Amino acid sequence: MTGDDIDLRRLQEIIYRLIVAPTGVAEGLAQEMTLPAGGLERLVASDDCMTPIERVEIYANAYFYRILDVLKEDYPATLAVVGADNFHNLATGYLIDCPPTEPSIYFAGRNFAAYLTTHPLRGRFPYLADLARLERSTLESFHAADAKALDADAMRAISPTEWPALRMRAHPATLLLESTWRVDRVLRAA
Amino acid sequence: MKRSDFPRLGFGVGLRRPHYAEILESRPPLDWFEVISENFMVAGGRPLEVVDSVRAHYPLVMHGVSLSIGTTDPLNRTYLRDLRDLATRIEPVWISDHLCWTGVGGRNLHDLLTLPHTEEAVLHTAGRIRQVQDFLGRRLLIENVSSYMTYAHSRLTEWEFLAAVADEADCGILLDINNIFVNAFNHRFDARRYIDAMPVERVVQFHLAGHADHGTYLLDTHDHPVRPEVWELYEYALRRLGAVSTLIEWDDHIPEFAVLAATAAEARDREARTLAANRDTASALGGTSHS
Repeated sequence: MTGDDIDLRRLQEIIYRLIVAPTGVAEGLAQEMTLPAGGLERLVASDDCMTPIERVEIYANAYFYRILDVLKEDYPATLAVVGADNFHNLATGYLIDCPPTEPSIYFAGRNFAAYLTTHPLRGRFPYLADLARLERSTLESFHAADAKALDADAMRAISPTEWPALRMRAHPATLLLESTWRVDRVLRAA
Repeated sequence: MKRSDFPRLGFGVGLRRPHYAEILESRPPLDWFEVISENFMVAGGRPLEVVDSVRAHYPLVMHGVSLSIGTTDPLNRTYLRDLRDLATRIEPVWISDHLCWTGVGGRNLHDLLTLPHTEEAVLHTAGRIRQVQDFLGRRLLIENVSSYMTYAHSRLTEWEFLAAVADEADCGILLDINNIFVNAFNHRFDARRYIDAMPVERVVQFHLAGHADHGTYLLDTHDHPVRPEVWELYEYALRRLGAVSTLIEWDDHIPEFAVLAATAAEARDREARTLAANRDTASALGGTSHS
C-alpha cells in the first residue's frame, strides 16, 4: 500500500490540528480521530535523527512563539502589567479562542482586547481589556487611511453663508475610546 | 521563459522598519530593495509613505508570505486584490512568494509549511500559480522554503518538485541558498545536487540569510550573518547558474544597516571573483582544445 490515498486536503487538516494543539503535538495526536492506519508515521517520515512528533513540534513552537512575539510587540503595556508568565498563558488561551484567520499577521492580535474582557485576570487587573484596546487602537490609527487634515487656511476660505450647512468628518485615523480607567496613564508609564 | 525576461537588478537588501530613516536620509549605494508585501497592504500611514519614497530612488520587488499557494482552501480573492493594488502603487520589478502552504480551513499558521513532493501537489500548486499569474497579469517567482519534516508519501526529491512546479506553472524561481543548505542538513542530501537540478533560465533571484544551529536540525531564523558554508554554496550556485540578482534577508535581531550593506557588498565581490575565475577556467579549457 502506498501513501497516495492521503489526499492533500486531509493531510493539511491533520497537520494544522497537530500544530495548534494547545497542550502539545503528542496530546493532539492522541485526540486525532482521522489519522490513517499506521499513525503519524504514515504522514511524516521518521528517521534515526528525530521522531515525527518532534518534527511537527518544531512547527508547533514556531507557530506559538511567532504569535506570542506579535502580541508582545502590539501590547507592550499589557505585557508590562501582567508579567511575562501571565502573558504567555494569555497568548495560549487567546490562540485557542481566536486563531488567526487573515493573510496578514498584522491582524493576528486584533481580538486580544475582546478576549481579555472575559478573562479571569480581570479580577486582578480590571482595566486590562481597556488598556489592550488602547494599545490596539494606537496601532490601527497609525495604519488608518490617509486624508488631508483641515487647516486654518481652508477654514478661512469658506464664506460665512456656507457655515450653517457645513459638515465635518473625523480623520480616518481618529478613534474614540471610552473607559472608566485612566489607561492612557498606564500606557505612558509602561 | 528566459531569465532575460526579467531585468538584472544586482545586489539588494530587505527593507525593514529599523532602517527606514537611515535609507531615506543617506540613500545608500544599493541596487534595489525587497519589501514584504503584507507589511504595506494597509490603508495608509507611515509604511506606505516610506515605501513610496524609497520607490522614488530604487527599484523595488514585492515578496509575499501569505499567498499560501499550496493550500487546499480556495484562493483568497481579497488578498489577491490587495496585492494587485499594492503592485499598481509601487510598480515592483517582480512579485514573489513561497512554494508552501500557510494554513487551511480559513485559519492561518503564519508559517511557511512544506508541501508533499507528489504529482498531486505539483498539479494543484502549479494550477493555482497560473491563476494568480493571470490575475496579476505577470509571472510570479516562487521560493523554496526551509523545512523540518518530510512527508512519508513524497515521491519526488525537493529539487524535482520545485523544478516540476515551475515548469508546469511556467513561473520563475527565487532560489534561497540558505534554505537549500538548511534542508540539506535537515534531510541529509547533497546541496550541490539541488543546485545542479535547477532549470537555469527560471532562476531569477537568490536569497541569502543566516540560520541557527539547533544541534539535530538547522532553523531558518534570518537572525544571523550568512554562514561561511552558505557563502560557499552561493559561489557554487554562481558557477552553475551564472549572475543572478541577489538579496540579503535579515528579519530578527536586525543589525544596523551598515551590516546589511556590507553583506550585500560581500555578495557583489564574491560574484565578481567567482565569475571571473569561471571565465579564466573556460578560456584555459578553450585554449587547450585549440592547441
